Amino acid sequence: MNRPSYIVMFRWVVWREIVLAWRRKSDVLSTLAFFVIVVSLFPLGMDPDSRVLRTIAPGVVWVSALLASMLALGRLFASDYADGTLEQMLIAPQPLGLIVAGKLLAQWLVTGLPLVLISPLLGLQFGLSTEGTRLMAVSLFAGVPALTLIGAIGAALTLGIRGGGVLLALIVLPLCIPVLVFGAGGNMALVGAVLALTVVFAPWAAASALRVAVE
Amino acid sequence: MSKWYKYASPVNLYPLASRMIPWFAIPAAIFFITGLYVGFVVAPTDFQQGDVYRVLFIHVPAAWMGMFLYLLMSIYAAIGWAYNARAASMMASSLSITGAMFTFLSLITGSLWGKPTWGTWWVWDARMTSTLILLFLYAGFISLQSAIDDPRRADRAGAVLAVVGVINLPIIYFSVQWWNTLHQGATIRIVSHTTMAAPMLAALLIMLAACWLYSVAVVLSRLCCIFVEREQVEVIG
Amino acid sequence: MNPAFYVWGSYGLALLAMCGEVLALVRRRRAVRHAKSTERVMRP
Repeated sequence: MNRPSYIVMFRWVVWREIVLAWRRKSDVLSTLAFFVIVVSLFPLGMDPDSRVLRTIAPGVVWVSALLASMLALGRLFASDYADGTLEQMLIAPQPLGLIVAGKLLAQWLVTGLPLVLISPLLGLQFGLSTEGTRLMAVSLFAGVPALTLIGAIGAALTLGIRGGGVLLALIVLPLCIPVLVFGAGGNMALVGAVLALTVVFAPWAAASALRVAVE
Repeated sequence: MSKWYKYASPVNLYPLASRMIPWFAIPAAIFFITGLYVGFVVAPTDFQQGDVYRVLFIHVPAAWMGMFLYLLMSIYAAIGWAYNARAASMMASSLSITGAMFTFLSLITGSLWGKPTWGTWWVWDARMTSTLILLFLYAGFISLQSAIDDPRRADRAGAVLAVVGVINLPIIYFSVQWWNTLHQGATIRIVSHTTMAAPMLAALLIMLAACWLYSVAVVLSRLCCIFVEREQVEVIG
Repeated sequence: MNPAFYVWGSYGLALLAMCGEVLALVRRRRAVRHAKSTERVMRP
């Protein structure tokens, strides 16, 4: 298979996902709203002492971003599976991993990136310093893609199963713990390392999982 | 060597597995009794921790079995997936339950050891937290397999998850270690076993062997059940 | 609290867990045998 058709396919997949997401803006916005609501629940559940809030801010924002990503992942393959597009992708000449990578890039652009962009506002809510907010936003920028990549494996495995959303979270959340720990802990190098590993392995693993689910 | 390949088929493996069970179950019981005797009667009272340290004789083997069985489960699942060998996949499913049991047991006994030793029921240290995450990984595998109706899809999906899990495991352990040192500075060190008295070490090893023998017996027994349930084998009479 | 409580508790729970697993397995074997003895199909 020649290179241009790989790039053409990749770009087509990304573009298609974005167009589809644009038609269903509510999906994207509801993920964002969920993220904001969950973050706001934490101060409501405790004494909103500013010193405590500042300490828990990165952890709270990270866990909420993790949960929001889990919710969005349920939609990753579901509609394509329902209308038969997924089977077409499976028999396409281009490697399935490439197509999955395209879907994941689009997913990140559409749901992951907005989470990162809104996070400074949430940092403000928690009284985080400018430096702290910057650190948190950068860690999310590098870490949320990794969460989406790892989550895609779970989304593929739980395709078409009843009670899939909770099951997806159950199998993916433990695997996301390293990203959470490094991200909330503020170590960019380690987040980057995990991201690099997941970029290389996750599309392939998710593709294998898709074949298992569909065949 | 090629005569071993016939055991990849459930029909041939079933009678062998059935016959093997008592050869592991009875020694397991003997080793448990011996281990408890050495651990409680022969081993002396530790001058730092009193008699509570004897909990370790079940806590440490349970923790090791939890980890070892997860590794074994992933290997069998991978083999079952790669070679399309149903018996191997069923072995993985059988291992998962015993492994989860030991991991859960290790958490509880760890907690019961921790309370008199450190004063709290739970400590967010690297070892306990990693064991907790291992339990979550088991839970994910077992839930995934039980949620999928088609047995072949369940086998393969479990294999993907197990392989991803086992590759992730060192990264998880490392991240938990890192997290622990980040937030605690001076880490709580568990009693260094290298300075253990000989009877203590002996008791530990005997109990470990007992747990291993028990696992083989139980896992093979469950495997036979799975064979019959999945109609891989007909039991006449 | 009395250290014996923790030791007894641990081994008691261990015994419970392992016996529970064995018991569940015995019940599973019985259920399987009962279910299969009612069908008498010869299969290769």
